[in-house]
Amino acid sequence: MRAFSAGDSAAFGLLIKRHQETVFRVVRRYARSADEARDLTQRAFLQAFEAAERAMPKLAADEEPVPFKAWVLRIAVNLGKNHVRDSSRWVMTSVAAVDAERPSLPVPQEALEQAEQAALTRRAVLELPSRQREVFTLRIDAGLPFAEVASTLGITEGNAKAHFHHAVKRLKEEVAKLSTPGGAP
Amino acid sequence: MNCEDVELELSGNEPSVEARVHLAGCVSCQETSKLLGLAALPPLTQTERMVLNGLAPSTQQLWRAQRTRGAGLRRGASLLMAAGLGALIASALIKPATVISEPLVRTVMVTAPEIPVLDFEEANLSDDEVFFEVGWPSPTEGDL
Repeated sequence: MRAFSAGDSAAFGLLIKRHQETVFRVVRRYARSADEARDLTQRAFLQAFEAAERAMPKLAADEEPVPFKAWVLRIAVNLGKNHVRDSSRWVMTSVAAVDAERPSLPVPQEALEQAEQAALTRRAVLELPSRQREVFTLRIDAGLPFAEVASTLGITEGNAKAHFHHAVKRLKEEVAKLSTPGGAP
Repeated sequence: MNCEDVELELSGNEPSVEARVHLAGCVSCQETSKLLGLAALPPLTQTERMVLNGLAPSTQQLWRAQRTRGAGLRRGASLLMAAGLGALIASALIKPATVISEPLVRTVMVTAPEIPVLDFEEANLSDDEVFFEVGWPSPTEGDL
């Protein structure tokens, strides 16, 4: 990060390569296509670099480490959330779009039902309360340990675990509601 | 190990042996496991992998473009400010200094004009009479 701040363009590329997959995995839940996910990832990095540039003098003076990964992930989660909010044409989850890219082969009834359930569950994830969704996606999509989820969101590890537990509980309820006839929107 | 511990372990990559033993005999944790499996996104597709491969150079290009644009805007703004400042200084130097003279104040003697004395005592200026003459009802004799 300090090399990037000193104008080292190789450091810039290295920073992106180091975190791009994690960021991409977070935003693809909110995006409808690979291109949308790429745009969101790029915006997250650009905003994180801008924030880093602004904060560098103070962090350098205090000799504090630059929490770049936490910044870029937090920005990514917010961008994803805003993207869903702003997108009036939002009809299907990214996963439905990703699935649409796959070759359509004849599938047994059981697999179809499972795909439908998966779509319901993923939609329910997007409708979780903000903090629960942030914790859930950082844990499940980005695969971060709870300690890192907590530091990214600026909460305690215990708090992150509690949010995760509530998210799972709520998802179970929502999926049960959506799965029952007449419960689906 | 209770259900909450198992839930936390199931959210990670590989649950411990202890967690798997609990899972085998707990319906609630089996439901949780199934739910987490359904909620997780599928692995990255070929298209997404390709997008990821080109991400670093394209983001770097965007960053440079953004910076160039920002520098251009800053340069433009400072040029405008310099031009404005120059114009201000030039106008102060070029404009001839105009002396504002004191206003001339003169005192003039004025005599009041003669007002003719009018005798109104004998004149009948009653409104009633006027209305009576034109045939309209008097405003004092009833509602209009």
